[in-house]
Amino acid sequence: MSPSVSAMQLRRVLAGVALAGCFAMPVEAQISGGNLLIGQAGNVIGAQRKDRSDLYERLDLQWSSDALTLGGRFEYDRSDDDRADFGRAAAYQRLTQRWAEWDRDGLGVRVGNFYTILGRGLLHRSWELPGVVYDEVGTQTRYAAARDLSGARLHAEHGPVSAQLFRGRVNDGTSSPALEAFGFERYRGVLDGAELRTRLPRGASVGTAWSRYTYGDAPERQYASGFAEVDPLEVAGLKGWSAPFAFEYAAERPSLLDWWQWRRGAERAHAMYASGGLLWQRYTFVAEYKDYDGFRLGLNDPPSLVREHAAPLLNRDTHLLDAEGEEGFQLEASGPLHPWVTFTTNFSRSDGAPGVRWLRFEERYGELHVAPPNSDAWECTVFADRGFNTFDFVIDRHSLGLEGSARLPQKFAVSFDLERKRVATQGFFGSPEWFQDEFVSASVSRAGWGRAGVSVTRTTDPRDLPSDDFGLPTADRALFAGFSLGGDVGQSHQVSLFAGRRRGGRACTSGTCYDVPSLAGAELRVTSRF
Amino acid sequence: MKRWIAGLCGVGLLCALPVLAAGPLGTVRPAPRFEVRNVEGKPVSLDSLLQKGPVLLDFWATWCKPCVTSLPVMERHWREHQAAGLTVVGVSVDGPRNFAKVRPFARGLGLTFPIVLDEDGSLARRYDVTGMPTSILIAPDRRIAYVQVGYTAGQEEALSRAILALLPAPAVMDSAR
Repeated sequence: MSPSVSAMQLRRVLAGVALAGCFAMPVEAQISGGNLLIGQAGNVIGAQRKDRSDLYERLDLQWSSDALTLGGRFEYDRSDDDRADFGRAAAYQRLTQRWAEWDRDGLGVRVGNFYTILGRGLLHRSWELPGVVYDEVGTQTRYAAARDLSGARLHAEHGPVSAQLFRGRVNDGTSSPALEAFGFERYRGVLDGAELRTRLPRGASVGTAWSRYTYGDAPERQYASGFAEVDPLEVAGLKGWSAPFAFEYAAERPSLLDWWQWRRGAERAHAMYASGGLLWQRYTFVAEYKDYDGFRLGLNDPPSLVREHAAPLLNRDTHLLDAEGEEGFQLEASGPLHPWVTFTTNFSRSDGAPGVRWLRFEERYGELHVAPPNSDAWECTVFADRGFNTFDFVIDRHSLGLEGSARLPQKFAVSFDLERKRVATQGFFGSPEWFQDEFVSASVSRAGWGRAGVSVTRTTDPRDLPSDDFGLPTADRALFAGFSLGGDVGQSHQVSLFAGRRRGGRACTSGTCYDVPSLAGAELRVTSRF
Repeated sequence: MKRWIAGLCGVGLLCALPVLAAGPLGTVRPAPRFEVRNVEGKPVSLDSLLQKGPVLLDFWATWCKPCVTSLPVMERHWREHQAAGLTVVGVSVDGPRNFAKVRPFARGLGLTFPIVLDEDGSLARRYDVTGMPTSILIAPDRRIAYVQVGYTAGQEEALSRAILALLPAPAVMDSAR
């Protein structure tokens, strides 16, 4: 698709939306939307391209009137770098989503791009990460972080029973729209899915789901699952206590009528997930168990059972689930120790054998949160974490952190975050090789004005050290320092600016992990809604 | 450079859009309807909640630091204005990785307002949520009255004023006491 054709398509959609809006205004029709603009200038550290600038623009528009909604998404990315031949060829501007939806009285149909989930995600989950933009390494372009389907979805709800049925081509979310110019199909294969669930008294529910994936001449893959949620203490009428329990079992190639035939051997792919909790007042305990075999479908999102951390140094070191073969569990408990102090502890373990040997991820995490009761004048959290991850050749890892915030007069507030992590990896000759990360950030904000902050990361991680043309390190540590400014412009716009050096690596948002390239330069981000 | 200028012009146009649109786009935007179940299996319908008064939707996640700070503030709004008709609904955008932790997390923070799971992200998309947390105040006539993206200490005052503006006058006086 050439850029000119895309621009024409955009004009048609905008004109259509505007025209529809004009006609429909008297019956409470509405045009709404959002816009995200990101401009970057500087170097992508470690990449060949220097003095690069990139402009990414995403516009979402929707027109709605009563039960009908029409929508579309336009994305644009263009970069300017030393290798202009490839960079400009990889630029794109096009409609990346368009859809129409009708929804009334428990019956709905959507045609075009859509997202959905079957059960707890063992068979399928499509998603979008709000505000997150992926970087395509090959074409050096940026695009919306989304896994979606293009087709049609029907859903219905009547009393306690709900059902959905869909068919769509699958975009697994790992490729930029720029690749379409090179003949690459972003939407590959067809996924059919169905789900039926019913609610039972006292918050319980049961359901079953089915999916079938077909792609070219490849063998068709068919899966089915059954799931249930129940709180036995609520069923028993016990007040003050809760014990939420959830379970899903999925397997390959059964028919809708035999999904429940329990098999955990190697004869066919299966996935089992179970969680149970016990809640009393503010004390909570949750246990989860997983057993996945042959379930790396590329279209699903089984729970990983690894804690998702907010602390930057822990967040980047999470374990990436490989549902092709993993078994493990996670335990978490929390509650007040004192009116001022709340604790959280977590223990998680995953075992897998993606190659010839067994690998293990294990983590122990503890946190104390301190704040004066019935006041938000200040609060602080101290955490400690210890673990290892032989999937990533990490044989020992321990981290400490302290973060806090306080309110000041005149609507000002300050916050800080101090973290340190030491990691041992398996050296070439078997001996451990240690590196260390230190992270410091501080910010000051004033309600109604905005926020200013600085962050500094110092690391001896070999992957981040500056290197010469032969890949040999030229320093024994790397420093990433930057400052940021941000604030609201009226009710409709948010602006943020980062300048300095930002460390890349793995980042996780809402359970989905992705790679962020290091940057030395500036980034301007404008988010608008209207 | 031309691209940057074009980009900045685009931003300028977008900034002007709500102003140019005056009423229809800026203030009369109706909130999308929804009917979902909370984490305890009870129905939560926007239309039925609006019959009691304004609704405050708070999109949050267990992994989001500012959300953890803002949720107790939402609980305070709920406790102060619940009797006057305000309903607070917490919408968790956590994925399957954290589904099992949402209810314990809310219990641990002492939250008493209803929490719903946005399992497929459809609510967040309908409300154009682009960052966490996002708080959206919906007036009883279903218009979106106030939006707050992100949270910094002190922002709750503006939200509180927006809530009070939607409550009936006697309720405002009670809240002031």
